[in-house]
Amino acid sequence: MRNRRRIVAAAALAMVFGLTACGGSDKGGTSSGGGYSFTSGSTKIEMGADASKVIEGLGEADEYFESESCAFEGLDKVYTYPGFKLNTYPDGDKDYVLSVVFMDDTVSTDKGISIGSTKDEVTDAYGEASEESAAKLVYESGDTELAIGLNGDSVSSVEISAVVEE
Amino acid sequence: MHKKSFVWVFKAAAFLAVLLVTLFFLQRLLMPKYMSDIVEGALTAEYYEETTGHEVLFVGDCEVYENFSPITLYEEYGISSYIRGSAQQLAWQSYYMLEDTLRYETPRVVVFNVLALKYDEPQSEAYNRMTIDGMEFSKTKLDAIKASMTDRENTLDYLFPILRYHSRWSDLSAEDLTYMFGKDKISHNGYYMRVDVRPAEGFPEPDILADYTLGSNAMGYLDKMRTLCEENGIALVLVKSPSLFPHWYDEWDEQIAAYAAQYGLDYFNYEKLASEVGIDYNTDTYDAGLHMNLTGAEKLTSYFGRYLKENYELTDHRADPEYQSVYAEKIQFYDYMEAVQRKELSEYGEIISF
Repeated sequence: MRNRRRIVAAAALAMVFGLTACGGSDKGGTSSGGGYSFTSGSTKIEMGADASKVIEGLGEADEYFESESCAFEGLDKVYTYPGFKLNTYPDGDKDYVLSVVFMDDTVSTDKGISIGSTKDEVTDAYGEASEESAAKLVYESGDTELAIGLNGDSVSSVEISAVVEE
Repeated sequence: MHKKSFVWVFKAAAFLAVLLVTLFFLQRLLMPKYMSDIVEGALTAEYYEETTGHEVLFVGDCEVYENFSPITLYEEYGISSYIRGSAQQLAWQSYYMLEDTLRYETPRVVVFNVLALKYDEPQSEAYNRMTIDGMEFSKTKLDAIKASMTDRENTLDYLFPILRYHSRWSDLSAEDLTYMFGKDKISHNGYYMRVDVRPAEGFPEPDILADYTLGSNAMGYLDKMRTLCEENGIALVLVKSPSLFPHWYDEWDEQIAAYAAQYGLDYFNYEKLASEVGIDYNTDTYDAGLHMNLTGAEKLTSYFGRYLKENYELTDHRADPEYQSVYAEKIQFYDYMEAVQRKELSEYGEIISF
């Protein structure tokens, strides 16, 4: 019953903000097909893609978690798979891939970067970052972003995400 | 000739007046009312209906408006307080809510919940609208709009909401007519009540972040808030509510603790103090640990109120006839809402009207 209320609320918000003609936000599944992606087994995960197809391809998650946003704007969902987490966001009656976050060094990006890689390996693979600090390198491609955390010369985190209004 | 000119000017003025009145009515009709499903969007505007002052002001996101109860603060300590919080209210929006409040009154204590400092950039038009649309027009509102807009928004749409909402005409409902010029009260001095219970369960392992440094924009607004409080002789208190998700990282906590120490502010992380407060995550949350329910909010408020009473010179308004009268009505509404929610819970197994 709670889920039904959330769905109604999400639909109401979509009516309020999604269907207005001009100046509106447009966040639903637009970045699929370009930018950074992640491949797990035979499943390619594109940011902004329809999450149901991705999850079907990945199989059952080790863990699943869902949470309401502050004002019940749908449900943010987290699927935990070996080595990474997949975050989704709702838009209308569908969920879309928001991000993939590496949780250990057993997974790597499509260009071979994983937690524990060196900064040089990152720049060799991805070139000059759009944004660089001592703590992170951020790459942008299309409507996606690759954020690589650095602990000294070593990669400490990897997150591939869709650039959307949450 | 002179008479003809006068008639022409009169006609033009009349036409303009009719046009403006029509646009005004249309705007009132088309703007979302936030009275049924997403009531949080109505929180901001309710502040302006207050008739008595507030010595304690809470600012922040859902971690203040769902976790602290001003009615409990009054009942137990006589403290007058208000929560100017809304859904995903970002740090700069809390700053402008404080600035806006100072146009009307000067509280003695401002309490800021720090969770929103995790966001360093504008996030969502939907949340922006819920926070800002209800603000009365002022330079502060203009500044809040400028600080909050995402790339796809523009100031004119906020100043003239009809530009943004004109195509809602096909989605209009009876609610839009009913609440065109007046809305039901949905909060208790800014507190959003929920009495249902959903025990906290497991949470996913926190993301490994690329950078744990809280953003300079958000921290800059915390600093502006501190300065504004200093300039107005207001004590600023930082809190992290006992909500368990989204994850509040130790690295963030250390940065806030260091900031508070640097400027001599009190900072309380009630996630860490939950057992001391008496929070039971099996009974005191309505959404599995994200927000407190009524019992959780009252426990936290009772605990925090003792700190406020012992550390600040706050008036006990319970002996003041004006406050007695105003708060008698507020308490009646508070008790009524609790009773209705408990009845719905008992009858339907869930709360359906709030």
